[in-house]
Amino acid sequence: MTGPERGYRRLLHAYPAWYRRERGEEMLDTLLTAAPHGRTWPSLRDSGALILGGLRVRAGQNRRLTTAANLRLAVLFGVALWLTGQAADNLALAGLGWLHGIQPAQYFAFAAVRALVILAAVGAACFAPRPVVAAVCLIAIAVIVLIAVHTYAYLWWLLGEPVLLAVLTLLARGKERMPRYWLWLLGVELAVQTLIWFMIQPQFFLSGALSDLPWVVLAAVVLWAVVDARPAIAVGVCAAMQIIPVVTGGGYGIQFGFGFGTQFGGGHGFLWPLACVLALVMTLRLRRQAVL
Amino acid sequence: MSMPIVPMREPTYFVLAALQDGPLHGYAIIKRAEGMSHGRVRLATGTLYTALDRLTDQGYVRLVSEEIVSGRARRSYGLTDAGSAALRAEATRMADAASLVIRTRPAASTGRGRGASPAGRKVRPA
Repeated sequence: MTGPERGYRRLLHAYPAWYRRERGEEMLDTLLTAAPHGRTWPSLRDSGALILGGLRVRAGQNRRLTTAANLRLAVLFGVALWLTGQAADNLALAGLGWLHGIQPAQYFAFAAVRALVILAAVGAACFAPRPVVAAVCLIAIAVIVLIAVHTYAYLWWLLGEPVLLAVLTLLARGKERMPRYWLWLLGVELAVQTLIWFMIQPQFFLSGALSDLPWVVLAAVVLWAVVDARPAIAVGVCAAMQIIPVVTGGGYGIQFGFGFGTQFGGGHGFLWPLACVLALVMTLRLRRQAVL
Repeated sequence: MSMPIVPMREPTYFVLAALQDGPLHGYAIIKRAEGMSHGRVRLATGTLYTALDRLTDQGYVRLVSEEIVSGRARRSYGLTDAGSAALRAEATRMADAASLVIRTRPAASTGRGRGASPAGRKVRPA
């Protein structure tokens, strides 16, 4: 094996294994034919293109979707993120109620049920066929409305989550599915937004790390926009939607997802316009990525 | 197959243009595109295959043949009818845009400022 071949083979690992099996040898042939005689190492230009190309394939961005389809997936993911945040809030509420034995216990049991039905709907939107998504979302909407009526909840509780579950159903009706590699963000949202409620207890060992995590997530999705702008749009949409509970009389104050709301106590109003700007800028970036 | 509603990027245009005279393999596409664009479009291999993935998905390019050279697969790609139509549509769009400038503003009238000569008059060198 020659020097550049070894280097190119290493760089081709930026592509997923199935792609290398399909195209690897063909690309290697082209790379070696194009390499100037006597070159012992891949050029910077080829290296950059191979790494970026590999990441694009991993992100599913080597396949052409229309801007509308890409935007639908991004907004669907944003709604899923927001609903996951709501589920996390309810999960934390149930956990805290159970931990401290607060009465009435029924109230916290309802919170747990709300969390579970919302998570089931989000899970269905990620993995299940379209009819199953619609059925699970309908059940979730019915359960949430029943609980809200039973507990004389805020109007927001009665309307907000059911409306967004309906939006989730509508957006999940398209042909394309969310790429699997996005799903870690849902896990992070669930973990952070649940654990953040326990941060009010100073002895909580993750307090320091959790307070920085929202910025790490934000930086990660903005950097990833070089390859795929859709997760950044989703985070922007999710954060921008946090205004809804405030304007509809929700009781939490501004929550920005990924623990931002609790971290800043609702006092950092700049985050909301920032979220809108992020979603807009990334949508423009998405248009460029979708162009042939 | 629907026509593109947005202008093609230059590399995409030259990849399609490179294939209009017949199927080519990866390296030949790179060289043809570079030659046709007078060296302006120098496709990196990673970029070329990303473009080929998209164009194949779009139905503009198809795999024509495959041969084994030095133990490695060498595939040739060709334009589909939809690809030819898209290429012609883009060329027409660019020609229309160019004709707006070239037809109505002859080279002699492109000077700026007070010293610019009117269209059709000779300009005496300084």
